[in-house]
Amino acid sequence: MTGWHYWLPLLVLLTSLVASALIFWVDEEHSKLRSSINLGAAVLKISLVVVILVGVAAGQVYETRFALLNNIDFVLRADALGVMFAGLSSVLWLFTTIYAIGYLEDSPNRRRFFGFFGLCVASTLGIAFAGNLFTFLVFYELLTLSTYPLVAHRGTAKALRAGRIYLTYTLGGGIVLLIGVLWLYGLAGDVEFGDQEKLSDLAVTHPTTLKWVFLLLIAGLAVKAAMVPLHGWLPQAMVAPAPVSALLHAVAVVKAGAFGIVRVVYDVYGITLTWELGLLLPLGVAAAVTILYGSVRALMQTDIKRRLAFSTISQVSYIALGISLFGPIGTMGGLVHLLHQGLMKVTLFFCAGNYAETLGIHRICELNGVGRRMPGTSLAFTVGALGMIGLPPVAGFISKWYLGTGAVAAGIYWVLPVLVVSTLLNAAYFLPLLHRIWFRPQTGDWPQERTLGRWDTSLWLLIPTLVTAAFSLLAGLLAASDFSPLAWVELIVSTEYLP
Amino acid sequence: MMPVLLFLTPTWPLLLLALLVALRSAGASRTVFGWLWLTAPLPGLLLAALATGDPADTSLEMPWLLLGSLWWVDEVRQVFLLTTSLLWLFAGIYARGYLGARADSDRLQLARLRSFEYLWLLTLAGNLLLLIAEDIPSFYTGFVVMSFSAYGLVIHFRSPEALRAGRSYLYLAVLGEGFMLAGFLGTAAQVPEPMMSQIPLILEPDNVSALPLMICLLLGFGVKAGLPLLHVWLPVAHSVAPTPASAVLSGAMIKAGLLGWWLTLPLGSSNWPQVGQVLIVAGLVAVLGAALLGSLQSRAKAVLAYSSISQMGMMTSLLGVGLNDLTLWPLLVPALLLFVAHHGLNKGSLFLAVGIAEKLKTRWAPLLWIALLLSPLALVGWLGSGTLTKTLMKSSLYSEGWSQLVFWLTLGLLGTTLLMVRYLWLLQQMQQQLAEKQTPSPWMLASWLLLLPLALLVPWWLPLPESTPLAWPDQKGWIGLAWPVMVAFVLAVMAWALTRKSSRWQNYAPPAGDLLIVYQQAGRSLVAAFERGVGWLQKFSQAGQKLFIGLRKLEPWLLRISQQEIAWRREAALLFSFLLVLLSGLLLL
Repeated sequence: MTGWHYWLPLLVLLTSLVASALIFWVDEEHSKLRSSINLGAAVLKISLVVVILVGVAAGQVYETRFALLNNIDFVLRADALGVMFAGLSSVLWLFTTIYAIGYLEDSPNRRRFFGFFGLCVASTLGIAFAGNLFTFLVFYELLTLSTYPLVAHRGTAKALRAGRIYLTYTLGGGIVLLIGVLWLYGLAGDVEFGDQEKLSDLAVTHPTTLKWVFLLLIAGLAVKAAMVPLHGWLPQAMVAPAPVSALLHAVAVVKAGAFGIVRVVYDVYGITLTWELGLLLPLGVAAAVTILYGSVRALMQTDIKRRLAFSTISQVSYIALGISLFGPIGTMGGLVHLLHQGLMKVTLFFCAGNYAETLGIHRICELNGVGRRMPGTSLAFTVGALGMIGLPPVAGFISKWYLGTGAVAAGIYWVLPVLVVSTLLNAAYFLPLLHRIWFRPQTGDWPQERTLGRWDTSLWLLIPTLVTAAFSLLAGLLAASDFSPLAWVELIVSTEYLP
Repeated sequence: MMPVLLFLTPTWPLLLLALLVALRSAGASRTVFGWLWLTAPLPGLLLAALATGDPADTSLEMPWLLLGSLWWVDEVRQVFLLTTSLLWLFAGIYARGYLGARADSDRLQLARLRSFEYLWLLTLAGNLLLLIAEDIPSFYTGFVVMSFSAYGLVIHFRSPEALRAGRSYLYLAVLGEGFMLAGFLGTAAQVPEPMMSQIPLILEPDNVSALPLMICLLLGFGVKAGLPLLHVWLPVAHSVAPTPASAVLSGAMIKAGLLGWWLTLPLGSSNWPQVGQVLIVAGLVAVLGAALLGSLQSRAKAVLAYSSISQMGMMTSLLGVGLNDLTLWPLLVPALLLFVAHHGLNKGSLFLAVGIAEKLKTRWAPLLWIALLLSPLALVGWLGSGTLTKTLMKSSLYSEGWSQLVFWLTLGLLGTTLLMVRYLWLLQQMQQQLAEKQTPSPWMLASWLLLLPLALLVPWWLPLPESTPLAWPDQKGWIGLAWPVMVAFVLAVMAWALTRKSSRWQNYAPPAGDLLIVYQQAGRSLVAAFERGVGWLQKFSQAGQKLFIGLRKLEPWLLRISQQEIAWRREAALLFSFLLVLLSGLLLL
């Protein structure tokens, strides 16, 4: 029982955890050492996740388990779904770290920053591999706490206020989730993911109670997933440094909420039970409302990062929408969007950060003619934006394709107009930016220009941006190949989630 | 050989794009519109020339690309591909003369020319991809790449007018994209493999979702094909775009919409009488309405754009006939294919001629004027490809008893003549205003003079289905072709006589883009309504915030509870002993 396979999930978790402990211990001035630890841990973690990935694809099960309290186990299990999220989180950890090293060059409090950054990634990994609701809850709360110092990192009044709002929302959501988990524990005992028979039996006797529990669980998770009307913290959190926003929007907080919803629907309740209880339709409607509301609000923003934030609100709900479509195709759309949106959004936030760092551009109207000054960044931004609209051959198209065909195949026709209107709205708020970037002449000087190397900007900032943009493009272009996110999602759906 | 050509057809322009960007950032290449750039459509042209029209011989399967790609060339695609790549080739040569002549200017100008070059390659790649794509994702990709890159071509000159035109182009393109997406997603969910050729099979009258999806597809492609009400971008975009771009927009890209219909509508597979009739009427509205509006335009390129709408209307009507009765469709295919090639190339050459006439003031100008007359004569059916196309079209319709439609299309011929007369008149006016002696660049002349004979002789080289009954018209046929043109001529002369004294009528003429003004007005009211809604929403959210702040009032109360808790804790020992006593008392009971 104690073998290499047994410890592997924990080991992955520990890479980030140990790295962050070491970083807290290294002095502020030793930035080289800190960066080496950070990057070394990130590379090690990716390698470990790849090992797990290959193993899981071959049908291997990795599980770390020990008893904490009576009847409650601490379980880390690498299943296909968890590995997907872990893979996203570890890949993006590497790139956001590279980016953050360049971004925070010579700024104060880097020790604190990178320490909590590592903690935050460790928590997402815990969320990914959590094997039961209890373990999930622990890491979910840990994520809340480790992100707060990142959001409030700058220490300005605005940042502190944003941090406070963030904490209010997420802790509130955490409490609601906790109540839901405890209630469920009271009913059914410890709920392992993937063990749905317990609840199926319960549904015969207590259907109404289960509905209420579901509502509590989803409401608690929806805070992090920024579903309307619980989204208020996300636009505020934009004051955080760009790499934090990138991580927050792409993989850490927002995605943790969405991932939690996936777990609750598929692994706690089971898709069939959720459907039988009539809970999928309300979830779908809530997602659709969020999609449209987020897009409309995004349209009204004048600040680049705020526009991106509202776009996240809208895009993350595609995942919930995909889950609510009762059928394998829609599920694939939702799950694959978890990865695709991560890649595209991280690209867009990197770009926003590059514009801000290099030229001092924060507002949309300042973007005029930036394509000629920063072609690489602008190209990456274009790829990300077109992907968000859902245009081929970028990854977003693949998500939209599966969501749309999945909805029609399941006979849920109203989703189709929602998708189309969302596409039009996305075009309406991204295309004007692209027009400014590429087709308008520069107006006046840049707000705050700095020269960072002979390229667009410093290579620390440019390379991660270009790489994630290339990933977003390739994930769509080569979607049908064996190494695409889509292929992995197909594996998840075919082995575990076929309803 | 064929798979390589298929692969290179859309990717060669992209490779060139990457190469040019790389060369330039290394500072190695300073020329604009160089030889390399001109080769972009050649793989496509070669493919179209070598293809047999049988997909079995000419196909390329790439299961790893997008959602599994299949590219091939069948009989229909071959004609489209041949016409399209020819037109792009000549328009490219023309662009070298047309825009390259201005390349001596400053850095900003040079940068703009380069961006034109890059976007040209992108648009071309998209256009060629959609022509050979059999799987839906590839087709949609091609369409999207083409539509969005062409925006940059439309606004190339960056004048306020060009930007306005670009905006209307983009609005409608995005709207079309949305409809197309709905149509594709809805149909793709019902077919076993996402292939274009499977879409028509599920669009049958028994399927309840068929009609809405068909409407989505009709509207989505209709934006490109200039369906009435969705046509408004054409006249404005064509008049402001650089002339070579207008030529490909009108000759090649507009046909992408038609191909979309052709491949997705259930033509020859099921009967849709109502939809067919609506399409016939919509086509005829375009034929006649565009002729009327176009003859009132004061810019040659706007006239040509309306003429394109009108000609596309004829093709729309023919599609409507095919949709109305599936047995007729096979008879209409050769006529439509010939029409596509004939109109595409002749319209291209008409556009290119505008740039020639703009700069034509030499001794041998009269000679060139004869050449300028050829394409208009072909378009009204008096010459070469035009005569054969019209005759083939009419004979196919007559043989099936659609004589009433033939009458309306003949009226359309009258309209086309009016448009062509107006076009030539405007060219002549333009030329008279030229002050100094000048000749168009040799590149422009060469491209136009090479395209012209190809366009006029389309039926003699186009690979049409073998059974195509190509024939010159009989006596009755000639009369049918002659009278509308004569009547139009008389009308034109009368109009000229009436308006000779003053050009005041032009103030009352509808502007290019006709309904566009109405749409803009509606758009503005919509935005105003939206803003009102947003204001209301904000009020609502402020109320929410107030409620949240109100909750803070709970804070002192919570504090008090916790203080009391402290008091309790101080007396914990006492409390517990009390509880102990109580419990033991209870147990004793």
